[in-house]
Amino acid sequence: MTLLDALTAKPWLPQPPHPGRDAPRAPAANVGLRMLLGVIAMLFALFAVALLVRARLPDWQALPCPGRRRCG
Amino acid sequence: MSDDDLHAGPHGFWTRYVWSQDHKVIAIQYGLTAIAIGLVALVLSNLMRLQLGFPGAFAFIDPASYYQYVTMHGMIMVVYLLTALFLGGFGNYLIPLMVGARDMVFPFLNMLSYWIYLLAVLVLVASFFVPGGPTGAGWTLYPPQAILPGTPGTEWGIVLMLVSLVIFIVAATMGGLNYVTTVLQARTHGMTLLRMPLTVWGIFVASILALFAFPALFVSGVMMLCDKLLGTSFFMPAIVSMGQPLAHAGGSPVLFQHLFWFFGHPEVYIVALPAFGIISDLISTHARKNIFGYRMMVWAIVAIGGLSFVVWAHHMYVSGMNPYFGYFFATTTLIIAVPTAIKVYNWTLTLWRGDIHLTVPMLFAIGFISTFVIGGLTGLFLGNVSVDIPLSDTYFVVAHFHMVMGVSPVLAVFGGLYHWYPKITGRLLDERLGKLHFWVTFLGTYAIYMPMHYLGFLGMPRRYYAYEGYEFIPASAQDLNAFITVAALVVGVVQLVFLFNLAWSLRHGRHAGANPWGATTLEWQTPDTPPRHGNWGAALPEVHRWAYDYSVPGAARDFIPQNVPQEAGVGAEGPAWEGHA
Repeated sequence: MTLLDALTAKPWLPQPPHPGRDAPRAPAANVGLRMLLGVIAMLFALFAVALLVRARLPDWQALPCPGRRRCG
Repeated sequence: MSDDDLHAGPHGFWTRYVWSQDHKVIAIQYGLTAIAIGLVALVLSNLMRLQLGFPGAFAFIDPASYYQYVTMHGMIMVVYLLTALFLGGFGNYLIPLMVGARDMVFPFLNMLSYWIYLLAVLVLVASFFVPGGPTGAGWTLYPPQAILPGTPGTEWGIVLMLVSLVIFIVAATMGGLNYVTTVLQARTHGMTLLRMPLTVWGIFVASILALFAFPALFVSGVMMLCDKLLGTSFFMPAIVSMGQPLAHAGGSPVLFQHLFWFFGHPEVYIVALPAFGIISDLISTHARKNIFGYRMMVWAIVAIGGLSFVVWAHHMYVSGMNPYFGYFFATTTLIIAVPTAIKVYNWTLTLWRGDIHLTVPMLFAIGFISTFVIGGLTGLFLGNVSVDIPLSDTYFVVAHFHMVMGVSPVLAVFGGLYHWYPKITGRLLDERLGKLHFWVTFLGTYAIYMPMHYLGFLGMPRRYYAYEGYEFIPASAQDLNAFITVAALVVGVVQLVFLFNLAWSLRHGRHAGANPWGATTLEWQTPDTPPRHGNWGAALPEVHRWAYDYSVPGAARDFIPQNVPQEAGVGAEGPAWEGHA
């Protein structure tokens, strides 16, 4: 059952009894890890956005490169 | 090994009640901690009101203390009380029971989440005892003033506040991962997504919001800590403080506001969505009627959750941002009123011709609809840029957000506690005390916030310590302020009745039995009340129907629990309204 099917079901109608087991689910740790990666991605994205916005302001000073005069 | 041994919980006191991994114990730990710190916030609000109602009468409330009370009251109520109580308290207790699971999918992480939350609370409380006291920057902690001399608590208080928030976010993330994964992966056989009670839907979507909104607060907190402690200038512009130019230059305070409100507005719905779910279940159960428009209610929760990420800058109309932003955010803000209104209509239509039982939980649920409608309508005023600008920073805004995300969620919390206390303890809360608590709280909140709307229209600014010498504020406004203070004190005192009821009923309350309200959802069908470790004894329940089979024509009783097979409920032909679907 797709997510769309799941969200368009009419649960108030009598449903046929479920034959056998439900569809197998991914291990909980797998789903939990994906959610955590999503949160971490959000964290990095927000840090990046904040840094980029700040770096566009006129007085922005990049961090000096250690041990060299010029980067890149 | 017997079934009892298989699902026996830990036997020792410490592993059973302190370092517990049982979701029910963790829920109670979360609940008690949140209520304890919430009482601090309640006292702070009454201290604030004493100053506003009777200015200068209490010598210990100086301007610095006043701003500290304002700040700590706001932050505690929004984050440490309501967020923790709805997700950590109700979420922990109800999700596994309502979806038919034995526990959360990551019990150790769940335990860790509570202890880290407790650490966050302790760090916050510690700020009351450091030199300079807690921060007085307002709950929004706007830079530059949050870390500049002149604002109370700029030495230690603001640092402890930011550290505490960062710790809280770690705890909330651990909890949120658990709640979401449990709903997705641990539902029992037959519990499809659209058979879940709306309480679970509300907490589920709110947990997703928390997972993706709190990082914005984390980022802004860490960057402000860098500005404060390392001398960076992410949010600090060039500024002269106390006659001295500071080393900061070029930072953007508006950048902080964007980050803060990217968290702050979803936060409103992190608090509101679980309340919506709880109210839906209370109304359906106590009106003995299936919830009107269940599927639309689910979609509305999902839609509100999604839209809550694109309305944040309606908190910033006067910040000097690009006016086109205001146009965009006013539009999205008004769009979010549509699914919200659908929910209000559906609650009302559920009540319509229902067999309404005016129990204490039902009184709180009806009270919620009333306060939420008032707060929501004033939100429409403030969502429009041209109306918001003159009302911005007046008491109209204070009245609005207290009605919609202060009083309303608190009423939902109370309704939920009166409703589920019998399952948690096996005993009912005293009804007479409950009704006294409800009526004084409900009428008291109107006595407090209705006059505040009027004061806002007069132009009375918020966040002021005293109001002498402002000619545009008539003297009679002070009478209203005194009246509001008396009402707030009465409402504050009556919460002691609730606390007494909680404690007294634990030993002396009427025995509730397994299902005192005749409810359909799974938590009321456990073999034991209170449920034992593992919740379900030897076998997990199997779900055969949705959560709202109330007053089904032809059924023997006016409710059919979710775990009753179709043929044992109303017969194979199904309920009478089938043809109208």
